[in-house]
Amino acid sequence: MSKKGLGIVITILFLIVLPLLALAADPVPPADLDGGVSSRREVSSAKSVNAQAGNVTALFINATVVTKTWQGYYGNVTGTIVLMNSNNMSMYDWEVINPEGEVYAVNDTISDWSGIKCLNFSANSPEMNLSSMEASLGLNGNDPDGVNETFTLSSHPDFWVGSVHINANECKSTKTYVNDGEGTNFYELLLLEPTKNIVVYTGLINSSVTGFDGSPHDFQLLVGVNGHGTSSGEDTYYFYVELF
Amino acid sequence: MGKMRGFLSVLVLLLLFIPFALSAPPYDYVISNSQDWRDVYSIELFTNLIKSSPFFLVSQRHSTLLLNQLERNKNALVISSDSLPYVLNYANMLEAKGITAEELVFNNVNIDIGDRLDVSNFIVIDDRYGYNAVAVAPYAVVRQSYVLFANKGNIDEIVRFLSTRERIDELIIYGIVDREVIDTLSSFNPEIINEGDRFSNDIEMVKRYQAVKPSKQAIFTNGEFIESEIVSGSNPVIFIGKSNVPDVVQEYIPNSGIDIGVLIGNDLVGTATILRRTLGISVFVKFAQGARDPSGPISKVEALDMYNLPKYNVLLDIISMIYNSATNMIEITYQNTGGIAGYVKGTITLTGDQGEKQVVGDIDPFFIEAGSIKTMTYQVDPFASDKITGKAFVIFGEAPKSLEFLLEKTVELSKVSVADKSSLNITGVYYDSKSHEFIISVQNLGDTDAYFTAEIIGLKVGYETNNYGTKQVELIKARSEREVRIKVDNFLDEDIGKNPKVTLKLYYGERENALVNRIEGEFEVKIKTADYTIWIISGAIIILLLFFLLLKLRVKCDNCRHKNFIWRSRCSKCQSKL
Repeated sequence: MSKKGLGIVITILFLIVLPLLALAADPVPPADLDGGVSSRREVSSAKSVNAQAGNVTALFINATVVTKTWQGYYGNVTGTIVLMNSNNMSMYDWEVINPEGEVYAVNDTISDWSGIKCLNFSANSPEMNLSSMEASLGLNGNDPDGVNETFTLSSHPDFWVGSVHINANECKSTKTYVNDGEGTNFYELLLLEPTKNIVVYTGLINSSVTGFDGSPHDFQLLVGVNGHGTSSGEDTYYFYVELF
Repeated sequence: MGKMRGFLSVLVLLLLFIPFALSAPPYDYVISNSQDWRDVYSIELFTNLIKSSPFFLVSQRHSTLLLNQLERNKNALVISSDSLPYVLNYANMLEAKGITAEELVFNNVNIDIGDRLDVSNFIVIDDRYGYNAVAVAPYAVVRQSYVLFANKGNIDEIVRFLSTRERIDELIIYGIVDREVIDTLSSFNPEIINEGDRFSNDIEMVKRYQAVKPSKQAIFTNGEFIESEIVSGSNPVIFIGKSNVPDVVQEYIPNSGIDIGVLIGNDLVGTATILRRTLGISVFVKFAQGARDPSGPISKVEALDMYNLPKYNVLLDIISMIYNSATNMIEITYQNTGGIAGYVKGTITLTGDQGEKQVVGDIDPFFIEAGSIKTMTYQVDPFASDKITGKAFVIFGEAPKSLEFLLEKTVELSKVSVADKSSLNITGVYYDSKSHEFIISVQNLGDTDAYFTAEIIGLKVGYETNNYGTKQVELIKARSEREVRIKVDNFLDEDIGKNPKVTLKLYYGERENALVNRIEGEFEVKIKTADYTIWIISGAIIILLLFFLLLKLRVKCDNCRHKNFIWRSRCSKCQSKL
């Protein structure tokens, strides 16, 4: 009997809003025991398979758990935006009518945007590479929701970050899901700010297109958090957009 | 375990009494717990100087949200205001989260935490101007300077603080401060930075930052709030104006080496876009942060944590646009509806319904006192059109070089045909040292009543030179004289010698909302002596009353019936005993 490894679905954007990561620590009974059918994250009663002597039944176990590595964010950069802040609701009225470009998410200040470049998984230490990035997120090299398991592509349009040109398909990228399924509305790729050696998660803006939940958004992207072991996964990310 | 915790607590307490060295951060986090922006600013700066991570509470609700941003098993210092904290005993809440926390409570945070710093450079500013605190912060961090809030009320405390320092390598007095501050600190040989407006002052600070730590990147803001990146010292701060970028900023950036701007918050997207497009620099907007209390694995972003500073906005409106066909003049009347004086520069495009087009405006900014009105007149070629539309593009601000606000208004001009025959004259100016007022004598030479406002131009007060004016429109009857008073609070007797003559301007007209005429002149200031008339008259009346009382109270001699004053013991006539 072979088991298919836990099919942990990286792109949590499929899921409906769920309780926090703490729930993921609880073992979850498999939703079904047939291969190829992904299950919703609803805690269901354990199922059983009647075993018949003399037969070998291929048993596929599928289950989805919430990743401890990625947090998703979405939003708009147009029109009137209501952002909840620590004091009260804040409303901003952007003058930009047709946003373009990228949204950048970073957990530190960027002191020099002119040095931005693609994150190189094979870079030589001390420059951030795949190994050091996964270590910072509390990942092991073979974790199924690792960085290279998430950013599996090198497929994206070319774009400018200030005066720095990022060529098409130059950086490691992924496409986040749309309406609970694969889509091409939202590219995300990994950049590096080499002065501080910090990862810049970059989402290409796509004005008011259908997002993960079937509603229109300008951007959606994943940022890395360390929710493994005793780490609590708190990491404040700041979001930037470039004016044109 | 209990003994270990006790030992650690004692050790931490001992550390509290040792001035913080700037080499190793003693705390992972330093958290501001105060509703006073000066405390928040001081703590942010202090934290950046000791290279810890700063946080500040902006509300009581924030005290719980912030816990989600902090990691367990770290140590934190909470600095609280003793009179205006957001929460009491915040250290307790942190301990419950698994963070080792200590709390210091201060009455005067700015001085008290400054005492704990081992720095020898200082910057002195006035806490009435929050934007000055923002302007100096990046330089203070890179130069290892501490910022002190000083005014005439606490200058003695500032002197005590500076006098206890082992040495002072650099002392800068930045922006507008009370004259007592400059006078008292002169013994420390300060460098004074005050170019007359906050944008020019800020540019001077940027130049100093660039000399210490050259940067291709600058933070764009307007000095209206504190945000962590602004006070971090990572890049210099440039004020870009609310809706118009002042010329001094547009002129500085191209040759400054700065080709990237990071706008904090999206309130100034308009002016940032102007810079982007006119100067070709890249501009990024930091507009949000991740949710501190995520609703799930996917969350909306939240607004940045910002601490608002006191700000002063010049408020302006156009109350009338008139075409006077009798004089072929356009009369634009402005009103300063705010609480501070300002400077205005307008460009008005006039379009007639028959296709005529003319443009009029101001070459230089003009002054308008808080609460007052001013009419600017412009000569035009006669309009044939019945209907004339005026499109006003007016920039204004608190100083001639700080024209950061924009007023755009399109109105249909009213039409009048009035030949204003009013005629006024200024006959003199006095200074009343008791009331700190300048008294301007005005004479109406004409046969019609007239309205007017008066201004003193370029008056030297302390170390500043400013304009002052009447706050409302005054009426003067035909063929009469009257006086108006302009109060200058900070004008002292020692300033009299700096202003032997003053320049006066009078704006006047027959119509209250159209002061279309003006006169200007230089006048010698006479000092109004104390008015003793009332005292003399009062004294005379009292003496007379006393005299009559004495006469009434005379004692009659029993012998000769002669009346004697009460103090006599014997009659003045017959010497009999009274």
